[in-house]
Amino acid sequence: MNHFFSRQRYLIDYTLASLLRRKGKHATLLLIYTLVIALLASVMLFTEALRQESQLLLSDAPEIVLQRQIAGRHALVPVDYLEKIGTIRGTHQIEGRLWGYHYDATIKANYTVMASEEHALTNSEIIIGATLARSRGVAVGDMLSLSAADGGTFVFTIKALLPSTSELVSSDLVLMTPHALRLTLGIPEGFYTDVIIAVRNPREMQKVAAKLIERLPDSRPILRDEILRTYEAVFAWRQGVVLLLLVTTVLAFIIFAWDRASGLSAEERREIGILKAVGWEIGDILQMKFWEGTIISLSAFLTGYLIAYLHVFYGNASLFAPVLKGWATLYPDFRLYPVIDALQLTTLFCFTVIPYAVATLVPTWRSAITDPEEVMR
Amino acid sequence: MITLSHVSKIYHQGQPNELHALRDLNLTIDAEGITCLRGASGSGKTTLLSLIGCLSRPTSGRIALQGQIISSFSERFLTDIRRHTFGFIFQRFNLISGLSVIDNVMIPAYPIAPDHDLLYAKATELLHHFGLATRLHSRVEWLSGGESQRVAICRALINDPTIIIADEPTANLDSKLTAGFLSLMAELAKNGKSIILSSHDPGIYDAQEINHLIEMRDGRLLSQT
Amino acid sequence: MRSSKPRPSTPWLFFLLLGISFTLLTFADSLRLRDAMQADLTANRQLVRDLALTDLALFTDARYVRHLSQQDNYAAFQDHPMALEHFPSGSLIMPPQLSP
Ligand SMILES: Nc1ncnc2c1ncn2[C@@H]1O[C@H](COP(=O)(O)OP(=O)(O)OP(=O)(O)O)[C@@H](O)[C@H]1O
Ligand SMILES: [Mg+2]
Repeated sequence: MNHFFSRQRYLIDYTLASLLRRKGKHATLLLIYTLVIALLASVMLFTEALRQESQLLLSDAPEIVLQRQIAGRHALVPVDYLEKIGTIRGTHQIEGRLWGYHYDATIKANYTVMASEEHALTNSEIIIGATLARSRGVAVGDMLSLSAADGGTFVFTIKALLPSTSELVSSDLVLMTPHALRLTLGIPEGFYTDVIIAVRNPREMQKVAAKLIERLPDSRPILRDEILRTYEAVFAWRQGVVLLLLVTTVLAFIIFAWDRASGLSAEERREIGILKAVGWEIGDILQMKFWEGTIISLSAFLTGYLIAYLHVFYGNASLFAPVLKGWATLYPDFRLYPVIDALQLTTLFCFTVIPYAVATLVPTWRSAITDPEEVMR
Repeated sequence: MITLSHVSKIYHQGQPNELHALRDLNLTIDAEGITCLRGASGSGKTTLLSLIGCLSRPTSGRIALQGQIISSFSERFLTDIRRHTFGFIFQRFNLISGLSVIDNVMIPAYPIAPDHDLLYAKATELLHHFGLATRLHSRVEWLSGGESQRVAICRALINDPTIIIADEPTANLDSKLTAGFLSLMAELAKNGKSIILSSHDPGIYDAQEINHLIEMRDGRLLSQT
Repeated sequence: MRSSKPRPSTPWLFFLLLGISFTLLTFADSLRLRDAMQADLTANRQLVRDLALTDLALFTDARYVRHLSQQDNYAAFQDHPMALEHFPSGSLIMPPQLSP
């Protein structure tokens, strides 16, 4: 065993010395490789963190949200729906929600306006999300004017800000009294935006949903499970963009492997011949080449992963912000909830380190089995 | 102690460019001293040396080394014998460029994995002995021809081989360096190494250090003294 | 005689050891960070419950990405997850996973 390790160490010595011969080339390779892995690992850590956090947060979302649809679009729900829902067995705590969007032309942002009776607001007071306050440059006590549905302008006093630690769910929120909201958004009395329903027995959720559609054919219940599943899918890293990135990387590796497999340079072949002639076995040469691939890919993997970890959890994934932000003017400042999935890390390892190591091995195999006699010529 | 019986080597057998490099060769090479293969270009010297040194296998015939018939050994055993019995000095030196002198000397020992300090000390000692003490960490491509060859000799000696095989070792050297090389070989021979070399340089095969002379022509043995 | 020049494997093996240790450390560190965030998380869950929130406020550029789970069945984005999208955020995310 000891002999095994000291032999491997000698092979590593040799490999490093020979890699150092073309410092520039290998340093560039290592750098690009590290960046690719840092990017992939960042996406992986970021999406996994968001996925976990969304599941945790939204596990407290309403059990059923009932929308009404007219002409295939979301429409306001009349109050009498609430009574009809109340007659369905298993439902409980039926509440009409008032909310909607408001476009603020000053900063070209869309706000989500919600009615809240919790915070003992007066009709001229609002509570706003921390992101919104930052973008508008307002603080508690300041005035914020919003244009109303009838063409007028309402001036509100900012009573409080939602905690900045909650920006991930509250960045664009404007909370006001139901009365103020109806005036601002133009929702007539007797209507709600949608209805939230709690169910007595969570196992009867599907049954209740089916009865809701039966009783109110123009309604569309959205279950909490569906919300959770939606977010699960959005941030499942095997899907969408990440998959695309991974496929691209794998393709790049295939091209690279193809290039390697199509033959070693005459110089490399000669070197293998010399090593064989001075007493190295095929196995020694293959192990040395294995180290050549492994040293580069393993170094890149470890460095890339650590960069990604720092970037995502200590640098707030700042590189991704522009992508996620898109055309939005409000972007929440939030700390990610760090969850590292060992399985994902292993998958990333297998997708990046192993193909490279194999790619360096294949052509060597072919030339290592040729006669060492060639070097005598 | 090396015995060849009915050894032939045919390149590209069965193809239109078939070439008989060695024809039915019977030969015994003594352990003692320096043996020199002499012959015109293309007479099969290199081919013969590579067969003896287990770098290639004969097309037919048997080769025995100290009673073991090595021509029937598997690749693995051949490597093992090559590693422990032979040291090679090539015409083109075949140092691995880009690496330092001392690395080049130590390379044959890597798969055996001896203690690093011992190996390093041994390589240093060899290089000191061959007058390369100041070049330990130079890259080999910066060396002169004579220095390169002395590095090649050190590399051939690092695993303590019993037989040293040198194919036209002086083809790239001037007559003064050739004489120097011969005296180094004579010294090694005195210390119990067998040396087999090939040359068509009169400065070598007529030299007094040579103990045995084997003459070849067209893949056949012409004379042996 | 001692080696005058260090073997190249020494720094690399050291780097390897360091890299592996730090990689393992990230697991411990993530636990620590999670612990530190626990109070915020509880508060945010309370906020979600109080306001009956249904979505993350990650994308605010379009209605159908702001309230991902609440959108109309025919919102633009749902054509195909990889479809070219008017809004960049729309092309990043998957459509809602509704029960059939
Ligand atoms: N791999 C090979 N394929 C085909 N022919 C070969 C091969 N190697 C050697 N030969 C041929 O075998 C013959 C003997 O070659 P060898 O190299 O043994 O001669 P040599 O005596 O060493 O010549 P020189 O003094 O020029 O080095 C030559 O005609 C050469 O062309
Ligand atoms: Mg020759």
